[in-house]
Amino acid sequence: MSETRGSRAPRWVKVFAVIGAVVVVLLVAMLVAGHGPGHHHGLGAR
Amino acid sequence: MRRLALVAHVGASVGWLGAVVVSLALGVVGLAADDPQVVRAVYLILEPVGWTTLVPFSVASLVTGLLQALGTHWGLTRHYWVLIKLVMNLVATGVLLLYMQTLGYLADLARGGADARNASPVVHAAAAIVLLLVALVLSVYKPRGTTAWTPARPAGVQGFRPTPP
Repeated sequence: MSETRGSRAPRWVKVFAVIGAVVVVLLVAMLVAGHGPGHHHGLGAR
Repeated sequence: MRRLALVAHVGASVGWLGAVVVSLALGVVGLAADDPQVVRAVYLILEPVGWTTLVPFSVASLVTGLLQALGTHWGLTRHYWVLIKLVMNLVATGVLLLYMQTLGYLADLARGGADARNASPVVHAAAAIVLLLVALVLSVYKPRGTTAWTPARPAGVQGFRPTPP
Protein backbone atom coordinates (compact mmCIF):
# COMPACT_ATOMS: atom_id res chain seq x y z
CA MET A 1 0.00 0.00 0.00
CA SER A 2 1.39 3.35 -0.91
CA GLU A 3 1.30 6.43 1.26
CA THR A 4 -1.55 8.55 0.00
CA ARG A 5 -2.08 12.17 0.86
CA GLY A 6 -4.87 14.46 -0.14
CA SER A 7 -7.77 13.52 -2.33
CA ARG A 8 -6.84 9.92 -3.20
CA ALA A 9 -7.73 7.56 -0.39
CA PRO A 10 -6.13 4.09 -0.29
CA ARG A 11 -8.23 1.12 -1.39
CA TRP A 12 -8.64 -0.20 2.17
CA VAL A 13 -10.17 3.13 3.22
CA LYS A 14 -12.66 2.91 0.35
CA VAL A 15 -13.58 -0.62 1.45
CA PHE A 16 -14.10 0.62 5.01
CA ALA A 17 -16.20 3.52 3.72
CA VAL A 18 -18.47 1.17 1.73
CA ILE A 19 -18.88 -1.23 4.68
CA GLY A 20 -19.54 1.71 7.02
CA ALA A 21 -22.15 3.13 4.66
CA VAL A 22 -23.90 -0.25 4.42
CA VAL A 23 -23.92 -0.58 8.23
CA VAL A 24 -25.32 2.95 8.63
CA VAL A 25 -28.08 2.25 6.08
CA LEU A 26 -28.94 -1.01 7.88
CA LEU A 27 -29.02 0.75 11.26
CA VAL A 28 -31.27 3.51 9.94
CA ALA A 29 -33.55 0.94 8.30
CA MET A 30 -33.79 -1.00 11.58
CA LEU A 31 -34.54 2.17 13.53
CA VAL A 32 -37.24 3.16 11.03
CA ALA A 33 -38.67 -0.37 11.23
CA GLY A 34 -39.10 0.03 14.98
CA HIS A 35 -36.01 -1.65 16.35
CA GLY A 36 -33.95 0.28 18.86
CA PRO A 37 -34.16 2.14 22.16
CA GLY A 38 -37.70 3.07 23.08
CA HIS A 39 -39.15 0.34 20.84
CA HIS A 40 -39.32 -2.59 23.22
CA HIS A 41 -42.69 -3.99 22.24
CA GLY A 42 -41.15 -6.92 20.41
CA LEU A 43 -38.79 -7.84 23.20
CA GLY A 44 -39.40 -10.59 25.70
CA ALA A 45 -42.11 -13.16 25.99
CA ARG A 46 -44.54 -11.62 28.40
CA MET B 1 4.26 9.83 29.95
CA ARG B 2 3.36 8.77 26.39
CA ARG B 3 3.91 5.14 27.30
CA LEU B 4 1.67 5.56 30.31
CA ALA B 5 -1.02 6.99 28.05
CA LEU B 6 -0.57 4.07 25.66
CA VAL B 7 -0.84 1.59 28.55
CA ALA B 8 -4.04 3.32 29.69
CA HIS B 9 -5.53 3.17 26.19
CA VAL B 10 -4.62 -0.48 25.62
CA GLY B 11 -5.82 -1.38 29.11
CA ALA B 12 -9.17 0.37 28.67
CA SER B 13 -9.71 -1.15 25.22
CA VAL B 14 -8.79 -4.66 26.34
CA GLY B 15 -11.06 -4.22 29.36
CA TRP B 16 -13.87 -3.16 27.03
CA LEU B 17 -13.35 -6.21 24.81
CA GLY B 18 -13.30 -8.47 27.88
CA ALA B 19 -16.50 -6.94 29.24
CA VAL B 20 -18.22 -7.45 25.87
CA VAL B 21 -17.10 -11.09 25.80
CA VAL B 22 -18.59 -11.55 29.29
CA SER B 23 -21.83 -9.94 28.08
CA LEU B 24 -21.89 -12.29 25.09
CA ALA B 25 -21.37 -15.29 27.36
CA LEU B 26 -24.17 -14.12 29.66
CA GLY B 27 -26.44 -13.54 26.68
CA VAL B 28 -25.80 -17.05 25.37
CA VAL B 29 -26.47 -18.51 28.83
CA GLY B 30 -29.69 -16.50 29.00
CA LEU B 31 -30.85 -17.92 25.69
CA ALA B 32 -29.76 -21.50 26.29
CA ALA B 33 -30.52 -22.06 29.98
CA ASP B 34 -33.46 -24.27 30.91
CA ASP B 35 -33.74 -23.03 34.48
CA PRO B 36 -36.01 -19.92 34.56
CA GLN B 37 -34.09 -18.61 37.59
CA VAL B 38 -30.85 -18.66 35.61
CA VAL B 39 -32.53 -16.84 32.70
CA ARG B 40 -33.92 -14.26 35.12
CA ALA B 41 -30.53 -13.83 36.78
CA VAL B 42 -28.82 -13.25 33.42
CA TYR B 43 -31.13 -10.39 32.39
CA LEU B 44 -30.98 -8.89 35.88
CA ILE B 45 -27.17 -8.86 35.82
CA LEU B 46 -26.65 -7.65 32.24
CA GLU B 47 -27.70 -4.09 33.07
CA PRO B 48 -25.32 -3.56 36.04
CA VAL B 49 -22.56 -5.28 34.08
CA GLY B 50 -23.17 -2.69 31.37
CA TRP B 51 -23.08 0.31 33.70
CA THR B 52 -20.11 -0.91 35.74
CA THR B 53 -17.87 -2.31 33.00
CA LEU B 54 -19.03 -1.71 29.40
CA VAL B 55 -19.80 1.99 29.71
CA PRO B 56 -16.76 2.99 31.85
CA PHE B 57 -14.35 1.00 29.67
CA SER B 58 -15.81 2.36 26.42
CA VAL B 59 -15.62 5.97 27.64
CA ALA B 60 -12.10 5.36 29.01
CA SER B 61 -11.05 3.86 25.69
CA LEU B 62 -12.43 6.90 23.85
CA VAL B 63 -10.81 9.44 26.16
CA THR B 64 -7.42 7.71 26.33
CA GLY B 65 -7.52 7.22 22.55
CA LEU B 66 -8.12 10.93 22.04
CA LEU B 67 -5.24 11.79 24.39
CA GLN B 68 -3.04 9.24 22.67
CA ALA B 69 -3.79 10.66 19.23
CA LEU B 70 -3.46 14.31 20.18
CA GLY B 71 -0.36 13.78 22.28
CA THR B 72 1.67 11.93 19.65
CA HIS B 73 2.79 12.44 16.07
CA TRP B 74 -0.13 10.31 14.87
CA GLY B 75 -2.62 13.14 15.35
CA LEU B 76 -6.38 12.78 15.34
CA THR B 77 -7.20 13.36 11.68
CA ARG B 78 -3.81 12.87 10.07
CA HIS B 79 -3.98 9.12 9.41
CA TYR B 80 -6.99 7.24 8.08
CA TRP B 81 -6.56 4.39 10.56
CA VAL B 82 -6.68 6.74 13.54
CA LEU B 83 -9.65 8.64 12.14
CA ILE B 84 -11.56 5.43 11.37
CA LYS B 85 -10.86 4.09 14.86
CA LEU B 86 -12.16 7.35 16.34
CA VAL B 87 -15.38 7.12 14.32
CA MET B 88 -15.82 3.44 15.26
CA ASN B 89 -15.25 4.23 18.93
CA LEU B 90 -17.74 7.13 18.87
CA VAL B 91 -20.38 5.01 17.13
CA ALA B 92 -19.84 2.03 19.44
CA THR B 93 -20.00 4.17 22.58
CA GLY B 94 -23.11 5.97 21.32
CA VAL B 95 -24.89 2.74 20.43
CA LEU B 96 -23.88 1.25 23.79
CA LEU B 97 -25.29 4.22 25.72
CA LEU B 98 -28.55 3.92 23.77
CA TYR B 99 -28.60 0.15 24.22
CA MET B 100 -28.40 0.51 28.00
CA GLN B 101 -32.11 1.46 27.79
CA THR B 102 -32.83 -1.94 26.29
CA LEU B 103 -30.80 -3.74 28.95
CA GLY B 104 -32.73 -1.76 31.57
CA TYR B 105 -35.99 -2.81 29.98
CA LEU B 106 -34.93 -6.48 29.93
CA ALA B 107 -33.90 -6.19 33.60
CA ASP B 108 -37.32 -4.73 34.43
CA LEU B 109 -39.00 -7.63 32.65
CA ALA B 110 -36.91 -10.13 34.61
CA ARG B 111 -37.53 -8.25 37.85
CA GLY B 112 -41.25 -8.48 37.21
CA GLY B 113 -41.03 -12.24 36.79
CA ALA B 114 -41.61 -12.23 33.01
CA ASP B 115 -39.55 -14.30 30.61
CA ALA B 116 -37.00 -11.79 29.34
CA ARG B 117 -35.27 -14.31 27.06
CA ASN B 118 -34.10 -12.41 23.98
CA ALA B 119 -31.40 -12.70 21.33
CA SER B 120 -30.76 -8.96 21.27
CA PRO B 121 -27.88 -8.92 23.83
CA VAL B 122 -26.12 -11.73 21.94
CA VAL B 123 -26.48 -9.96 18.59
CA HIS B 124 -25.26 -6.62 19.98
CA ALA B 125 -22.34 -8.20 21.87
CA ALA B 126 -21.28 -10.19 18.80
CA ALA B 127 -21.38 -7.05 16.64
CA ALA B 128 -19.37 -5.16 19.26
CA ILE B 129 -16.73 -7.90 19.33
CA VAL B 130 -16.36 -7.73 15.53
CA LEU B 131 -16.00 -3.94 15.73
CA LEU B 132 -13.45 -4.10 18.54
CA LEU B 133 -11.43 -6.76 16.73
CA VAL B 134 -11.36 -4.59 13.60
CA ALA B 135 -10.14 -1.70 15.76
CA LEU B 136 -7.49 -4.00 17.23
CA VAL B 137 -6.28 -5.00 13.77
CA LEU B 138 -6.11 -1.34 12.71
CA SER B 139 -4.11 -0.50 15.84
CA VAL B 140 -1.58 -3.27 15.27
CA TYR B 141 -1.14 -3.00 11.48
CA LYS B 142 -1.54 0.80 11.23
CA PRO B 143 -2.29 0.69 7.48
CA ARG B 144 -0.81 3.54 5.50
CA GLY B 145 -2.72 6.46 4.14
CA THR B 146 -2.89 10.05 5.24
CA THR B 147 -5.91 12.28 4.97
CA ALA B 148 -6.39 15.58 3.22
CA TRP B 149 -5.92 17.25 6.60
CA THR B 150 -2.35 16.04 6.85
CA PRO B 151 0.14 18.86 7.22
CA ALA B 152 2.71 18.84 4.45
CA ARG B 153 5.36 19.65 7.05
CA PRO B 154 5.43 19.34 10.82
CA ALA B 155 3.43 22.04 12.54
CA GLY B 156 5.51 25.00 13.62
CA VAL B 157 7.81 24.95 10.63
CA GLN B 158 8.11 28.40 9.14
CA GLY B 159 6.16 28.83 5.94
CA PHE B 160 4.03 25.80 6.72
CA ARG B 161 0.79 25.64 4.78
CA PRO B 162 -1.57 22.74 5.26
CA THR B 163 -2.63 20.80 2.20
CA PRO B 164 -6.06 22.04 1.09
CA PRO B 165 -8.82 19.42 1.39
